[in-house]
Amino acid sequence: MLCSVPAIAQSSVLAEIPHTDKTLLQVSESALAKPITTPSGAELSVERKGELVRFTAAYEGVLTRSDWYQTTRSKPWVVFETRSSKFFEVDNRVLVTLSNPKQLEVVADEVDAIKAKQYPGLGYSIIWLQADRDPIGTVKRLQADQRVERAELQLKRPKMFPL
Amino acid sequence: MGIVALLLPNGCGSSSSSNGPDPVPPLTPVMATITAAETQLVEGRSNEVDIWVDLTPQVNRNVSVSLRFDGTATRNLDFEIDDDVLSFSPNQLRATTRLRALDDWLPEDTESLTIRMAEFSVATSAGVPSTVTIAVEDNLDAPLTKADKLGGGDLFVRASASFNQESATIEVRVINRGAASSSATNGYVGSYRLARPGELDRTAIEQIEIEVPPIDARSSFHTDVTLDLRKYTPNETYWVEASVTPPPEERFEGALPNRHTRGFTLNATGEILTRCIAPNRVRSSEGGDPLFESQWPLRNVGQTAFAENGGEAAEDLRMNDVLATGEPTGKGVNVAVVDTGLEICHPDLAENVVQEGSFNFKINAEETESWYNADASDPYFPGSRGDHGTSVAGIIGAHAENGLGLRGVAPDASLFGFNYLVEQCCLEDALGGSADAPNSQQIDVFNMSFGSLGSQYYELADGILRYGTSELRDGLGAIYVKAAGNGFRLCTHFMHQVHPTVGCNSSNGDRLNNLPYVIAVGALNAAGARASYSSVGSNLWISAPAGEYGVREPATITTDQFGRSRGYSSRGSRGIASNENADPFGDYSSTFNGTSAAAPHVSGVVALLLEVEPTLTWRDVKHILARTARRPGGLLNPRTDVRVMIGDQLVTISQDWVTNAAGFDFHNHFGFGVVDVDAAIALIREDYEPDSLGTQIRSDWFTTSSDGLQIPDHDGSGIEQQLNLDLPAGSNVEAIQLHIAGSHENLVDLSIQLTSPSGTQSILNPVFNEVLAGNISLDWRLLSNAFYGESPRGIWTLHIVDAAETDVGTLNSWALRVWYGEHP
Repeated sequence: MLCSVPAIAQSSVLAEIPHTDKTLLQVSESALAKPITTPSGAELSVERKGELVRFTAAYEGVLTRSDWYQTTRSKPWVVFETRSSKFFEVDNRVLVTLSNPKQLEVVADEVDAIKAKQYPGLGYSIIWLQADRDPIGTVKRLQADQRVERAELQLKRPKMFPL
Repeated sequence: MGIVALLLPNGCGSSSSSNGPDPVPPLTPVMATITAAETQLVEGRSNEVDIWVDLTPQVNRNVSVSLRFDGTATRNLDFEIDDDVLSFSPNQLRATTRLRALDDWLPEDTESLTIRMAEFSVATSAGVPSTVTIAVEDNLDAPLTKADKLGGGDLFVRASASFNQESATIEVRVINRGAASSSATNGYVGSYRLARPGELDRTAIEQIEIEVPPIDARSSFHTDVTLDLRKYTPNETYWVEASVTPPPEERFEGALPNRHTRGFTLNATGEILTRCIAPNRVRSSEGGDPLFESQWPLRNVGQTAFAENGGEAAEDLRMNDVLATGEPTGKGVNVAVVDTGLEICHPDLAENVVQEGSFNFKINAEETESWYNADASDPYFPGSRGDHGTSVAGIIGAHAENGLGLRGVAPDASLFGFNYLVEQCCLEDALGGSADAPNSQQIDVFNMSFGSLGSQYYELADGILRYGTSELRDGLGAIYVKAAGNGFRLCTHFMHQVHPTVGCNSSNGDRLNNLPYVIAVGALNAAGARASYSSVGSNLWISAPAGEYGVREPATITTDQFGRSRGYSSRGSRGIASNENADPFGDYSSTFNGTSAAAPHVSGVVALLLEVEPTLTWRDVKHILARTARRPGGLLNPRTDVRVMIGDQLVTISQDWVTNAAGFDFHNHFGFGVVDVDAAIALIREDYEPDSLGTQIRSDWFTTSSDGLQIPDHDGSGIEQQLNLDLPAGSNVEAIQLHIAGSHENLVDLSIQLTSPSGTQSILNPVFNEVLAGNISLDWRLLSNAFYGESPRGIWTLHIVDAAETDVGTLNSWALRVWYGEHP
């Protein structure tokens, strides 16, 4: 059974984070202070209950997705992926391709990274951000950096488990 | 059984020579009997029967017998039959046909079917009508209704643990897999001392309440709980239980989905164990492998392997020649166990573990060289309730002839442990993308006994495995062996399976299983049947032994975390854990199963093949496994298509073995069949030219737009669309991927089938696949191996059916991409 939610969403725009093969919209408590309807028709809203934050998605008033996030340990960085209509928490790893891979350490230092590692065969590097660092803002900053050919968020996916 | 007498002229074809008009030739009675092997069928289950007609005495000319069907059962609605005219060649005594009861998904009374012999091509006089009557019982199956499709608010708990110097953080994730929102409820995390294997001292060391808010359908909640390790006694093992109310419903027989348990052991100074400290073990003075006789996957003689019952002889890896000659042994082949951990000092593994070759991913994630006294090259699993990776490693490469335990499939393979699953960080490092910390580029075979549920395309994994298959092993390509999944009976969204041959979760739903670079392995039990849990799908490549649960029917015996307070053996006294003579120190488990156990059998086999011929490419290995596989012999395996009536059309929801146009047998339950080691090695030695499959080419996507085409609701005719692939004549399919996009109010209603230009059909997505539950947007890639070796050139046909009423949806686009070569 799907639950109805009030259809009070208004058209607005959420920041889109460029990605090779996804459309990612940044969601947060402040961005969704008022419910927002995405161009694809998803009505997104947020509510807080103590230390918990819940993001919800609905279509034509019918709730299709909601996820709780705890805010005690660190702020959750969440995006809405439009094709799957799901929320994803963002990983603290950022994928980058540099025009000059030798600059990786410099670039990583500039974003206070824990570490960085090149994968030459795969054509990219990974930068590990501090847990309290804003990965979305960092990616936007890297995407604007002329030394960076590509910078992409990594989404936390359901864990893989032993079979 | 019915009998009829046919009267045939004497001396068939001759005439009398007496005077006067020819007399009517005397007639010789020929007795014909019609028989059915069974007279009671159940729709969709025991649903087929052989029908035969016997002639007595034999007739020295062609005879044909027509059958007629009466009764309440309707042909092609309630049953179908292969032939309704049985032909006898001269002197043939018996002709047989097969009748199947169709599952019409309608509630109805038991129906009857009377089969009569209607016409006889040689008869001049009918005898007593011969009939046989068969009852067709309704199986009460129906398309899953809305209420059946989604359960009623079941809460599932998963807990994971991570450790610091003085504390343990337990992450509790509560998932509502039901259709309705859950109410606010409570849960707790409690820790208890393990008093003895399988028994806790129920005085809680710590018990922490957690508040669980209302969780919407198919959504989740997670929270962290911290335990203070200073409250715990050194040298003891503890279990941590995370649980929420309400208690589980009865349908989860034996399982407790609202509870999840983790464990850890403290050392003498009260710290979490983080590195392997070798135990002293007395080896048998007679050498050998004392537990070998229980290793039915290597040589099945019907042994019980510490369970109650044994299996079927010869339902094993068929490696008798290898066992008899003692070679190959996997020597010189590097196999990585990408898993939870690997006890590198386990007495039966240590000799094969490559020093400094393994890697502790906990250190990788923490970015510290001293994560709690751990060693970067020791992929130690800090949990205590069984280290999955240690058990996987034993199947691949437990050392042989060392007077301890058992032997692996490849007992001289070089083992590397990557405990990737403890942090799930850095798939690049684990699967061949890294030249240092760890050096995963030296790996020949990656064993991946893990999985996930969800239909997302995993673009990073695609790139990593594509790189590994093209660049590692000096360009010959690494071999990625992957467990197919244990979701066949994992019916959590659904109240029941839609049919015994259609599982609840398809293997294609795992985000790594739809990549053509992996060898997806299904599991068989000791009777040679698909193991009860083993996920099925068009993406399977091969099957291997793994077993059931090791209580009634055998599981796989393998290495376990050593000692009695740790490992699967610490959970209780099942199987070998109750037999101190067989396993005096608690270093082995006889209850290890899952496709996790099937995959390492194949990894071990691949190590053997690479020792025999090190220049085999990754594609050669797949080709050889497919070409030499055999059909499993289990009597309970399905032996027919299952077709059901959807709307007014019959739709195949589960296929029998299909022989494709290239001559390969394929079945969604088994891939190309069971690995046959001796046959594979014989092929390499006698008749196989490495790297002879031509250059592999990955085509561009061939796309078509369906532009929001409505999928007819509850209509077996569905949508049928075609796509012409203009690819080189003379090329051979090695894999094909379907990308499909659309939306549906209930995606589980959809069945997706693809037909090749040669006419081979493959079900890529079965009806009521739980993987899709809770999704309304379809953006999925599915793999089929059923067309292996066929020509990709020509018209491919996609058939999508919405199998249930009410919910509707649209198809937006679909596309095909083919990996192909030129096979000799």
